[in-house]
Amino acid sequence: MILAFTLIWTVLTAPAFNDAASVMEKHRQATSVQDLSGQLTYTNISKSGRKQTRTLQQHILRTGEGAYTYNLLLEFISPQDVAGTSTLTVQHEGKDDEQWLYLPALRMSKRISPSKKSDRFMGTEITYEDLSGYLSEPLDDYEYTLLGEETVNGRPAHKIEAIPKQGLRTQYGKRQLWIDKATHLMAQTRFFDQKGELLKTYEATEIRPIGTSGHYRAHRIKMENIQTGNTTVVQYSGFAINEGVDAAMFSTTWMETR
Amino acid sequence: MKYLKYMLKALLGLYFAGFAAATVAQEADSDWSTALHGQATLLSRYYPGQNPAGLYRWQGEARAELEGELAYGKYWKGRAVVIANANPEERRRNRLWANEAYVYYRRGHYFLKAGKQTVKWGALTGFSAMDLANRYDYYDVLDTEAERLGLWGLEARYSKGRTELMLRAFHPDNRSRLYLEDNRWVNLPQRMPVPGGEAVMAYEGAAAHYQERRPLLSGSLSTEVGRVQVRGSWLYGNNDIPLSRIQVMAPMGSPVPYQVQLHFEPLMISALNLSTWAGEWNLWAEGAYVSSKRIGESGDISPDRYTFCSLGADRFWAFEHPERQLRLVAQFLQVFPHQGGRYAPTEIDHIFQSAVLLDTELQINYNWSAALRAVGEFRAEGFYLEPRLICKAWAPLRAELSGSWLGGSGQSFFGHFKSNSRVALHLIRPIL
Repeated sequence: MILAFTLIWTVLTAPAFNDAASVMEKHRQATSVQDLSGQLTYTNISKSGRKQTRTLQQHILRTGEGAYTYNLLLEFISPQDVAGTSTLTVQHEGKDDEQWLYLPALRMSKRISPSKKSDRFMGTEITYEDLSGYLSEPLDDYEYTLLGEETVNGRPAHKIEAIPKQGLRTQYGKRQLWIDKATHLMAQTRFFDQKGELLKTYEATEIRPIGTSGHYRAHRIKMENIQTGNTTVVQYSGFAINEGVDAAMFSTTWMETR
Repeated sequence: MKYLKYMLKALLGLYFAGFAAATVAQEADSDWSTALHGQATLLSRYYPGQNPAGLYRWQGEARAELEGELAYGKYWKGRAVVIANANPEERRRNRLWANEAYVYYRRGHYFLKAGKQTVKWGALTGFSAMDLANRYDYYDVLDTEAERLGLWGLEARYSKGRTELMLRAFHPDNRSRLYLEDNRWVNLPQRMPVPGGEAVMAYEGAAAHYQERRPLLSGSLSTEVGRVQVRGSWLYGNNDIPLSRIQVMAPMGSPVPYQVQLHFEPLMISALNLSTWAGEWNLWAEGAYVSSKRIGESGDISPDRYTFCSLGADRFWAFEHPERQLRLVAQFLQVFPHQGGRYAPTEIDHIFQSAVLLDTELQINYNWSAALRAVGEFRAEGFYLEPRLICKAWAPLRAELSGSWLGGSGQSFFGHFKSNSRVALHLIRPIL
């Protein structure tokens, strides 16, 4: 009886599981690049309407370690009081990221304590865990279930629930993902905290192709923290994908000699 | 003010000439790329305390800084920074000059930079012994960060993995800019004792003396051992803070004329820096040996050798309130002289002897920050407090209101110059 029930359950659930896995694998392929460069401007908007805007140049290069680990160099361009500040992150498979910070006032780069996954990235509503997820969805860390299809900003999307596997250290109890059917990019996400309450929402718009790379990218994203009322809006421009990025850029020497 | 008009015209001319040249170059060849940035600063300082020589209570300055970059292909880049400074009270500060003008070539592991470039010698989050070699315009001794002077010379780096070798060589005439006359930070003698009383003295200028015109040379090797960053540095050249002696020219004159003899003596610094982290704290340390010269108690130029040790930590906190952040840098440093004697409060290289330095900034919200710099000097018993309030509510304008409170024993730099405590307002705005 138990065996029969297990077999029936497996048969009933397997297609859904496989569909979710297949959608997520396509999503990971869509976000996976050899290298990427571009400019981004983010604006943090507080609950009371105060704003903080920063513009950065980003350079991303896949590491030699694995298909889904990256070197990430971010250089602040404006405003003037932070211009020249750079951060270098080197991801490792199964190990903490390594991070360096270059401050123009000190004219030196220094290795800094690795950020916690729940730390906000540069004061935005995007955490280091979110950032890592954008570079490469951690497929092995979550159980994915296909919930159906919905339209997000006029674009058909798969709705998927991602539950962290037992023992995973994450700030989220659950995520609901909307994967754009045409481009396999993340169109929308709802992040729930460990108590199951809605914490943040992510929305990606202005999805356009990038040159002749065959890749698409959202040119505008919005992350809203429902619990604090703070919002971060990021506008991207000048994307270049797989056009070649100098590996020497991902070094402290580069940061110090810009 | 007529100089200001000429300076602004020249600056505008340079800007348009540079912009036109860059545009033509970009159109002619897509390998060229250009960038222009600029910043304007207005500064006002008020000194509530009277200076012993009765010098100025107000200072006001305007500055425009233009920065142009020109890159060719992947490997070549040039950069020039032109600064125009205007000060209605101080003609020596009415200047237009190119503070930086260099080209660099970078390929693979190699980097070479040649030309006029600004250098910060210390590679430490806090104050490093190597910073004694920094070249500044010393019009003001407290606000030196915006006054770093460009030096003519070469910088070469070779890096592989986490290891980097850096060599630098600069021309001997790269010196700090000093203002001996009419400056609140320099006490020129006004009177001298003579039999039967005092005689009034008259400053007749300064004369520089060199034992040798040494180029400024340095090398450093840095690497990472596990999670520890290690850097060994060495520097040799002339100390640009000269030793000064009064040379009376005609003792029987009235007033008595005198000249200040400025002796530029050799300076050698060797330093070892270590940095790592524990939890969310970044930790760092430096041990340095400094060999220099000073005027001994007998009035002769004598060796000044000391070991300079420092320990520091810094940390960043992001609070639950999404706008609130705190940054803290704390450093303890101790100097161990290898000879007897006591350093005079006017020996700028010995401002810190046994001191704690704090630098902290709290971002209250996106528009307002409060910051504090503080120094406690225990051996000479002096202190310095600099609270600042920073406003970005009218971005891109940035306004900074600050106070500088110097105090303590007259044997310390901070106590000696306590009449230079002041309040200041900086207004900074990008202009390009």
